[in-house]
Amino acid sequence: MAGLTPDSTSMSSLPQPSSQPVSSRQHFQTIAWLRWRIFVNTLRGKGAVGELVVKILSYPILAVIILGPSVGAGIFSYLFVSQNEDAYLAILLWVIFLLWQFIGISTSATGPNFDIASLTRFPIRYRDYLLIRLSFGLMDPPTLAGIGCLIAMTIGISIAAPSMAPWAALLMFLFAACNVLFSRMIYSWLERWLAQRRTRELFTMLLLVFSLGIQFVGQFAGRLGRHGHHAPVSPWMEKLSHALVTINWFLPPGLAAASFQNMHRGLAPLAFASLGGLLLFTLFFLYIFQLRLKAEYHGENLSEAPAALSAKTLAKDRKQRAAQIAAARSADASPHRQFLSPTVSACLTKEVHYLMRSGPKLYALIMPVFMIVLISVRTASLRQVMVGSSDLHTFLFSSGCAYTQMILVGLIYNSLGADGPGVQFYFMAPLHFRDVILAKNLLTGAILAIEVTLIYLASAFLGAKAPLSLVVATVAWSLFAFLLNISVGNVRSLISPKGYEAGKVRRQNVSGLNSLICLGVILSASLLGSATIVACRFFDISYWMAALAFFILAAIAVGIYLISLKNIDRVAMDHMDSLTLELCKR
Amino acid sequence: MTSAISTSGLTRRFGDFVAVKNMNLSVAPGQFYGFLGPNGAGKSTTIKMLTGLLAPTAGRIEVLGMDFATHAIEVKRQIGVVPEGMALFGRLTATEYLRFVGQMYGLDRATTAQRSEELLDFMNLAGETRKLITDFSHGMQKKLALAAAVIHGPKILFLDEPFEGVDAIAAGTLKQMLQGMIARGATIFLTSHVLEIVERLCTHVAIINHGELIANGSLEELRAGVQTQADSDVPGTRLTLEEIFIRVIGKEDGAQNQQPEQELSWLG
Repeated sequence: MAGLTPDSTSMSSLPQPSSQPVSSRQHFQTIAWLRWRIFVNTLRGKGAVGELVVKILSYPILAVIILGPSVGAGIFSYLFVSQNEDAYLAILLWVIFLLWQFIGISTSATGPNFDIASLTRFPIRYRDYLLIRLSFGLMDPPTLAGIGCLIAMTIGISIAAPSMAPWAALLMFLFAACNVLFSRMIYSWLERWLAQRRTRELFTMLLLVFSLGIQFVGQFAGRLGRHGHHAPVSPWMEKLSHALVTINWFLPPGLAAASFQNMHRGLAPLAFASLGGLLLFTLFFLYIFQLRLKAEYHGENLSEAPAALSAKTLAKDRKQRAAQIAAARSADASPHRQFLSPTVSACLTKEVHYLMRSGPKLYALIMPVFMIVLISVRTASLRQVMVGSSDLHTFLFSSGCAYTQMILVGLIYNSLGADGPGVQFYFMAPLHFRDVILAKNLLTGAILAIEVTLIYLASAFLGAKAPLSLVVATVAWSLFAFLLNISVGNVRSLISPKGYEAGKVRRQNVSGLNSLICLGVILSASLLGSATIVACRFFDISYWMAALAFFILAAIAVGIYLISLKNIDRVAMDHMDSLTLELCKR
Repeated sequence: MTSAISTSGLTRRFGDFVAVKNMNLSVAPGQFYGFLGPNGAGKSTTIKMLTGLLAPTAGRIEVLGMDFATHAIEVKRQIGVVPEGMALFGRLTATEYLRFVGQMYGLDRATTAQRSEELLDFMNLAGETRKLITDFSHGMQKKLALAAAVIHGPKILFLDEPFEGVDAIAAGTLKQMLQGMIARGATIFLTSHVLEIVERLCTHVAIINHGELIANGSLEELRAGVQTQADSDVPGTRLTLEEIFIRVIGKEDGAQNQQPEQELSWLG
């Protein structure tokens, strides 16, 4: 190439890179184009039509999700302001604030994502990077819902008190900005901490303990505050609620409501003071957020490497492994025959290792039993005050089993997601794919069996024992629903897999079509189950008949499952390209 | 003598694009076979088809005399593979992964444990048994992938870019192990862009371009094929594999590579 040899060119004659700075507008346009192209390109792959249909179908659902709370927020705002109960606006703003922040955690992305942090390699100004990071995600469902609610509140307030419209609009705008910055701040720092696997696992455990703890605290606080039906609230609870209400006025939702209330009463200085408080919060969140972004912008290395092991630990490890080899030798020499084939057994062991190392999955699995314990405790207190609450107890076991099915679908409909590039191994090794899938199904089945047993024990000891006929009918239904789910889920896992990323708090990539199919199967099975039970009650038929019907359905489902398992190798081979391509993505 | 690997009319299409065209290949047992080609030539597609990771559109693959299409499981028992993506399970430890792989290939637990121990020692990974594979460096993952590929003592080993991202010391360890396998009669089929390594290790080389096999033979045969009169006139001239590769590919691509000086003249 001309110009590469030192003798033919001098540095001064080298072509210089463009000295013209790229405008922010150009950067924004380019990134918008990039997102558009990523979206368009996802419509080119296998199964893209299905994903597009799901996207189109999801918009009306999203619109309803956004419109419902928005209309509610608008109506309540109108009522509060028109009845001069402006202080209650704080309640609405707190609800919006909490939903905005916490719904985001469970919101998964069905679309393509790319790491925005990778943009820092381009000559992009920090200010532009900050703006890009802020503007990304403004179209997320929780943000859209939050903004929708705040717009509706502004409209409601404006109808009730037209003169307050500009002030309400200003407050809501600032409150929206405060929310956006708060969530950006929280998630950016969370992702920083969760970049390392060990911190991630620790965080998951803390979240689990916190979540379970808060439920118990809520439960006991409820008991402390209520000694019986219409009993007076305990002084302890009264003090706590007073303290919370006072603190509320110094936090963003309370400040926004106070500012409006004061302006509405003509107390402009107080209104401006509250507005200033809200502004200070907003700027504080922005400052903390940009601290994180600045570190990211200037490049940072989040090392995953754990500390090296000491010589003593290494020696101990070696000893342990020698003992394991000796134990394996004696086990191999024994005439005892394994119940499962070596392939299924090896896959099962691997699945157990994976399960034990996945905090979020373990958390999800604990939840059904935990919910039953909570509901049992709650209904125990309700039983004292409510007529007909025995129904709650009777169907506690059945509801718990249905809830477990919903929790388990995450494991069933993307069963290969966590394997990542390891999926290639299944095609290279001398095995039948059905053995791999069978191992996964066996583990899920074992989890279901344990969960159902625990739910039964929890509901029987803490609540009341459901009639045996209903228990048997529920178990039969669970078996039927599980077999149906794994028959469909096994195939969907092969056709439309998505890599599971352990480090992501939200925006976990899932297949929209898989979610829709899974929802369809679960809803159909649940409707069938509940309709049968309701029919038994209504027509006074024994639950044993329902049990019989579900056992027949389960037997049919066994047939469907066996057929699907028999064909799983063919399906896997047919989708080998797309499967390995999707799961080997880094 | 039965070939270790042979293909006839092997073809793979992706829509209208033909990635591998009518390939006829024969690798004798005990050969260290280097499979070379520029980016996008069809190397990985070929190796994927030879190892069962991709179904051919047409043609036949025979491994150790067995038809891959009808004896896939038997063939897979005899081969070891380090594919492009390494096929590791990130959330297992190295020991757990090797145990899993050993069991999948039908080894008993004691043999698997014993071999795992030896392999981890050999690969200098014995001190890393508590780490999850996801926490391993790229080079460590490569070494582990190789350990997993050989734990069952395969007769044929397929390696897709085994030296990519591996440091010089680790590369030395890998080379030593591969040469040991060849000495004991195994066959190795390797793709690599590091031509010096291929030249040092491989006894036979094939070059693929645009999905077609354009050169195949021992290094001496390839050298003789591209030697010009000018080379012969200078005594002691011995073309390196890199020179052979450039000549073979250059001849094939013809006009496309003729005037590079006219391109990218703006580049400093």
